[in-house]
Amino acid sequence: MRRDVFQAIADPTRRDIITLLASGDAMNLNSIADQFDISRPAISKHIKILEECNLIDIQQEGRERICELKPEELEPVSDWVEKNRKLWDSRLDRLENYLNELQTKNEKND
Amino acid sequence: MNFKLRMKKMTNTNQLIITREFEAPVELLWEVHSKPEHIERWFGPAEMYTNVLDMDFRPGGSLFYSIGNEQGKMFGLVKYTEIQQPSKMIYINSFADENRNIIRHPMSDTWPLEVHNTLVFEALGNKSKLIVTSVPIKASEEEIDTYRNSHGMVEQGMGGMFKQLDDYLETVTS
Repeated sequence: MRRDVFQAIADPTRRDIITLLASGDAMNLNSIADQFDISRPAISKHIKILEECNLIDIQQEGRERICELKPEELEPVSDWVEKNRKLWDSRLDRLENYLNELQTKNEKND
Repeated sequence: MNFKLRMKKMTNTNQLIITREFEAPVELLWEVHSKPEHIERWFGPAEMYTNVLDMDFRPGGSLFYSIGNEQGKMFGLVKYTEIQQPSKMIYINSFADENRNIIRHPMSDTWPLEVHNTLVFEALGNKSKLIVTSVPIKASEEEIDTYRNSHGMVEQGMGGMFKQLDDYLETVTS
């Protein structure tokens, strides 16, 4: 199955995990799980998906699994938001012109 | 920054919110969203034609359209999930092949497979306000397999067209 950053951020718990790790410090799995009300296996599953989406690195250190965010991998999201903004801006420009055109036509017909 | 604040920041980075006021009553703003002859006039890029191939404007219905020019055309699909005339509309927009299968943006691996759009319409006397919230969503595994099966076919002979759309996306970005 194809994994990408949009899948990583599709789930609210995964967004929260990303945000937690975005503070800069690597964290082990247990201290991440401590921040959430949901079960540790559920968190573990989300972490696995985040790893598969290439958004975090996991290092095994002794008995601990240390998770670190790769913030640069989030760039496609902000790129997309920016492109989508321009797309909507120009679409709404066209819509505005069209509405004006329709109303001018109606005034003439009145 | 505390955890909640940072959480809010993150949640906001993946969504786009645009607000626009129009010098038109909300009924007219709604109408141009709900009829194919109107949609063809503003929905697609300015330098390309937009053809509505079919439209079933109700929750669970869809809008199947093509946009293009002399170099070729491509298809798009809108799936309406919620319609509350004249105040709210929610739909999922994606690229599609000619058989309405959802496909990835042909020129961009980083464009989400599906985009979830919520449009809120507000009356302001003779004017109106539109609030668009746009977020990427991820399709199911099944849909991705469909994309894999159809991708080769769609790409054939349409490179120039997709290049132009990509250029368009670039120009509106720069």
